[in-house]
Amino acid sequence: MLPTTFEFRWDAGHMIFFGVFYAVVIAIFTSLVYVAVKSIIDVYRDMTARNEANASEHPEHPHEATNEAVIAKS
Amino acid sequence: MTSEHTTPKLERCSRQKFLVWLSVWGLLLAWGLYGAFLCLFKGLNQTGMNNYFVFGLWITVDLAIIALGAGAFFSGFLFYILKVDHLKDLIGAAVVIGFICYSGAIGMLTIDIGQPLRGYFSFWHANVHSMLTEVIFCITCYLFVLTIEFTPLILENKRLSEFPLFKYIGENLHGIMAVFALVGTFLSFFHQGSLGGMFGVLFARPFAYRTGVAIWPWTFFLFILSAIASGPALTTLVVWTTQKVTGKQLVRRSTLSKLAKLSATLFFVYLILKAADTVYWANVTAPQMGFAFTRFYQGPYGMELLFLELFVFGLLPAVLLLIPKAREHDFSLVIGCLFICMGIVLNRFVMTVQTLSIPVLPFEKFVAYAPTWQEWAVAAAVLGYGVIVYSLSYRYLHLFPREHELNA
Repeated sequence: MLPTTFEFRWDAGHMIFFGVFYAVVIAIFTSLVYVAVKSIIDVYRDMTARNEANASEHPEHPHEATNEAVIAKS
Repeated sequence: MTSEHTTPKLERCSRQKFLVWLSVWGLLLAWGLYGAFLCLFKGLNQTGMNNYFVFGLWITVDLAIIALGAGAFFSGFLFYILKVDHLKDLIGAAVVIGFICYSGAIGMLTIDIGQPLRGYFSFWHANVHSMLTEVIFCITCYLFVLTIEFTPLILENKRLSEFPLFKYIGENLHGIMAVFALVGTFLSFFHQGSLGGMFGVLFARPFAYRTGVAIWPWTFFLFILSAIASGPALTTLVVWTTQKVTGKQLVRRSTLSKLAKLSATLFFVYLILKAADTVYWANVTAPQMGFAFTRFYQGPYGMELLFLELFVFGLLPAVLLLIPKAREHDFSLVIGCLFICMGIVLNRFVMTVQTLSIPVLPFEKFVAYAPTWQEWAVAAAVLGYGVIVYSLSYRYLHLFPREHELNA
């Protein structure tokens, strides 16, 4: 599976077969990494937007307003 | 698959009823797990396999469910790449069915290799000249791809999607699903073919040996075509059965008819090529190797198997499902799809078991294969496992996007 394995030989069969196999594996993992990174960015963007919305609703005392909301809810 | 945030509430049977349903299939699974335990603990002497039959019931079932699971990759290819929109109704179910088929097949292979701890040998010490190496690489990768395709369905669950990260992972995976559909198609194309190629290159087994193009025997192409023909038939059958069991309409009737038509058309093309292959093999390939065609059909594996495969479970369902009026009737739709699936199971049985039953050396005799109860139990466990996973998926996930609309 890896060139470090003792039976491995750099012949055409190995290069074609493993070349295609690793290309597929790389395509899968690249896509997964893309999804993971994009999802984290989306969550972060959502959090920022929510914080900004809260801040614009209560521009003078945002922390106090948040605390009041929590107390009122509880 | 739905990507909307506000998915309608699923109406399902009571928990008690559902648990009774699950426990029935759970018993089947438990029986299989006991059989698997005996095979792992005592060894493969628990099976009917011997020096004649190195492949038996498990490989037959493996090949059959891998072919029948092709509905996932083929539906994915049609929906995500060719934009066949009506498949949206059941693409989720097709993915779950594919996942069950492939995970079941790999689970069964784990028992079949006898020493699962050495399972990594086929990866680490890969023999690139073996068709089986390509198969094991591709089915492992494809199961991974199917898991990725299954994940957005799970993450759409109302409770899970309350977590923003899960919600976005599901949506983003859904957004690039075309990439996975394409990778899945590539992997499936080659491993379905290589499963057929594996038999076609067996020069010492004249029943299976075929000529072909370059390194690919004709069986390579026949296995691909038979898989993409039978996969949609199983999907149609499972969705129809789900509708009957649940008493709900889950997809539009026209979607099932279109899928059955697609299956029948591909199956018809497959049968023409299969017939041509059989005629050439019987008249040219086998005689060149010193075998008469009729000598291949003896004992319990007589000529009736060929008749059943080509006509009863071949031409009959293909023609039946090509008739528009027949497709509109549930009975003929189900019989047609069921017979196509049975035809593929029979084909895989013949290629696996009959190939090995024919004597090729002077001191050998024609032998029949008899599976033990342990083998049947493990095969039945795959069915039990499949029904449980599918039932859970149906109960908790939005497999059918039009369900709410069709039952309003």
